[in-house]
Amino acid sequence: MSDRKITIEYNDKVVRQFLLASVIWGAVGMLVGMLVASQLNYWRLNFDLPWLTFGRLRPLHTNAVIFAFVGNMMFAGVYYSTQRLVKARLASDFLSSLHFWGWQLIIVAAAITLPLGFSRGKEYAELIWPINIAVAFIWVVFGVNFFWTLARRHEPALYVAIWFYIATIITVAMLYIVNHLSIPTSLLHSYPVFGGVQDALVQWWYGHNAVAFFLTTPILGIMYYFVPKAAERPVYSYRLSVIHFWSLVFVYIWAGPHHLLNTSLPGWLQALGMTFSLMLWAPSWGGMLNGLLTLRGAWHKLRTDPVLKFFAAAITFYGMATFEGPLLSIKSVNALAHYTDWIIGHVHAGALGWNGFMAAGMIYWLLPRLWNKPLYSVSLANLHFWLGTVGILLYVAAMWTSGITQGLMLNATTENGTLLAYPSFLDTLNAIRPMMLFRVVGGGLYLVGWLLLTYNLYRTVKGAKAVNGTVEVFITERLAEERLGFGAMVVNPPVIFSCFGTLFACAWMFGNDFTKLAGLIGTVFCVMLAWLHFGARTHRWAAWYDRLLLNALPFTILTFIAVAAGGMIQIIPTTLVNRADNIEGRRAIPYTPLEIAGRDIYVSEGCYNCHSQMIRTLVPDVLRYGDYSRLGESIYDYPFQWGSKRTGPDLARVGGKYPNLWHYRHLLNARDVSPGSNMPNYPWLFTNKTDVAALTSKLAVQRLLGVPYPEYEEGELLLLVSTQEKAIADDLHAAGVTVAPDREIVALIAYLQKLGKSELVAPRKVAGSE
Amino acid sequence: MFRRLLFENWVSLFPLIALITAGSVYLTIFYRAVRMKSAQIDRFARLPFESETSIPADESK
Repeated sequence: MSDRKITIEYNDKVVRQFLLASVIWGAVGMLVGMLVASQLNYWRLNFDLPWLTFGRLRPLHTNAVIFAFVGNMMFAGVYYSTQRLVKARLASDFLSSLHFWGWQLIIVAAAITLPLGFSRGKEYAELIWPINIAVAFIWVVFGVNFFWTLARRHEPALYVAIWFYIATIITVAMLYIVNHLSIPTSLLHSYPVFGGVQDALVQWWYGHNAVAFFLTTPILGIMYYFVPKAAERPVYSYRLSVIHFWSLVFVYIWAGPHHLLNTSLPGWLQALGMTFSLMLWAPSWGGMLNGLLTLRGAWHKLRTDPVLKFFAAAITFYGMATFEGPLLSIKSVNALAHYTDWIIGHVHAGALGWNGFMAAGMIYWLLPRLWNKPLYSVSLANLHFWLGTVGILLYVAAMWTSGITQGLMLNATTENGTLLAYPSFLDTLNAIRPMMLFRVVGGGLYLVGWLLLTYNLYRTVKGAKAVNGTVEVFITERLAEERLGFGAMVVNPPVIFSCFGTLFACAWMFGNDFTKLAGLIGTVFCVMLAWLHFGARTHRWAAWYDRLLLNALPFTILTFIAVAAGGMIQIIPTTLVNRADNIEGRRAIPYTPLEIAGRDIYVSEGCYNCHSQMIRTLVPDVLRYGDYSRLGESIYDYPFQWGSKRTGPDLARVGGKYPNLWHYRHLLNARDVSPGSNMPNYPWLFTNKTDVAALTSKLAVQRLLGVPYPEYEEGELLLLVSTQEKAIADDLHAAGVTVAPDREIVALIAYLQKLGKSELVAPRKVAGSE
Repeated sequence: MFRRLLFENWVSLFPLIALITAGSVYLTIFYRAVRMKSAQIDRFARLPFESETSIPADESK
């Protein structure tokens, strides 16, 4: 068959749409960030309005920045570069439009539901179940459009950026679906299928890898495409990019447990998380150096070219953030830094420096090309760069100082470690107030820079004609030896030896006496045979890998195996942990129906954004909050509420610590009982009625999840609720305040007074242990 | 001071096994990357540099 030349016009309309959406949502997300940061300094900025409180707006800020700002930017970059790298127009204009409008609809739905208090109570996974389904559906649309485009490509080779996009699509789908598995109790509410430690592990497996595969791998793909384009020279080392991809993708997925160090998470998982986090130094820095060295010979352009300035700074921030991440994953460093502002500083070095600057560089590079008009003002773009850089440095330096101060003060002891040096939590809060103010200033500078970009974009686009890229390609028949079908992918030496090796190794580890021996012999035999076969048939092993680089589907399956392995090895064994006989000597007493109602209010108000419920196995934690938390104490927590930040103190054992009146006054105005507190007021809890009608379906779902609730007779549930409500209201009345028993404040007090109450049970004896 | 976990002993092997597995993957990929042919590397690295033109979006087909 003879070659034929055709002209392909890229679908750049959807790129422009995503790019504009990213700029707009970026400004919104940063503005909300400014507000919530200011609320921490001036509690009155909560305005005593439910939909403007910190606990509800902080999830809006994080979701807006991650999914709306970076998400839209990522889709723009992926669609622009993929079409050019594979020399094919996006497979379906309809799917592209559906992807764009569906994603914006999801963002709008999130922007409405989160301030209204509809939340799943898990960080970066707060959106309610109907929106979760929409996200999964639109992500599938994205995946279908992407892989369909790959199937229609005119370039057989898959550039490394495409590898990163493939890893992003399949891994985010896997993470999102598993972490959002829920059973609905109503149209707007659900409980996660995982509880307690399982939920904690799944959540941070997701949370960490949302950073890895939503905020990092797609942006690395964008880096590998746009930095060479902007610098007008190929990537420094393509070999290094190959090593970077596989090692990063394989290692990243294992590191989630570093978010749960020193908690009641099993020790082996903590060791796993820490070890793999430290291993991440190598691939991350390999990638960073590869990006920076791509600018070799182009450094002089940085003086005048804002695009290269943004890219160089973004890659440098990537290096800083990925050095800091593993450092924070060392258990002793984590003991100081966890729950403090240091983590907030770390996250923002990545979000503002890496993601935000990569977005800015990409947008400034794309604008003239998508609208066929020079950028309105290079000077404004340069000013944006310097404002943004100073803003990030102020922000990060303030948060480092704040976090280290907080950590040192909260962990400081006297009298040979028997007393706390700063027993009042508020001492630490008041010590970091100046740093919190600097954070607002830094964030403000960054936002002003972003608004300059928005203005620059507006002036550039105004009156300009949008253009679509075109390219001429030769249609050639793909050679048969380049194709790799499913059968050929599986039936080949590397896969066969790996499968048998894994099977024998599993038999060796988990089998009984005979299978253990057979497994050991089989593993050794398999390794030796593989080595001999590799020596004799090296070309067959090499040919398989070379063909893999030209075949998207087998490559995708291999990538999926690489990421799924890390998840499975963490999550499957941990499903055993939540068994009621494996609880470290303490078992939670199921919440009463009223306490469940109160707990859902706690989740809805986003209290977990400032209060943890996990006393770590550290002396200062135990001295400050009481005995360390056990696995069994949260087994009935759907969702878990261990938290990740202590703007306020830990609440794991707050039950019974204060009288009901104290909680009443604290929630009405925290400063009445805790002078200097920055907690919002919650006046609506005193007027809103507790949603008792919803309890029937909520308890039915909890029962389904394994919480031992009886089947209540008709009226029994209401009687239980009203009896407990009346007891609390009577107690408050006796203390001098009057409240109707059916108000939300009563349910919330009931829940808070339950925290830390558990029953002692005999620990299960483990075979082989004392 | 703190009594830690009640969990099956075999799982304490997991970090070690995971480390060995990750090391094996890393070495394999390192070997494959180093053995890639220079011509192949150059071709891959130049993929972003295909020349393109543009047409007004309102004239697109």
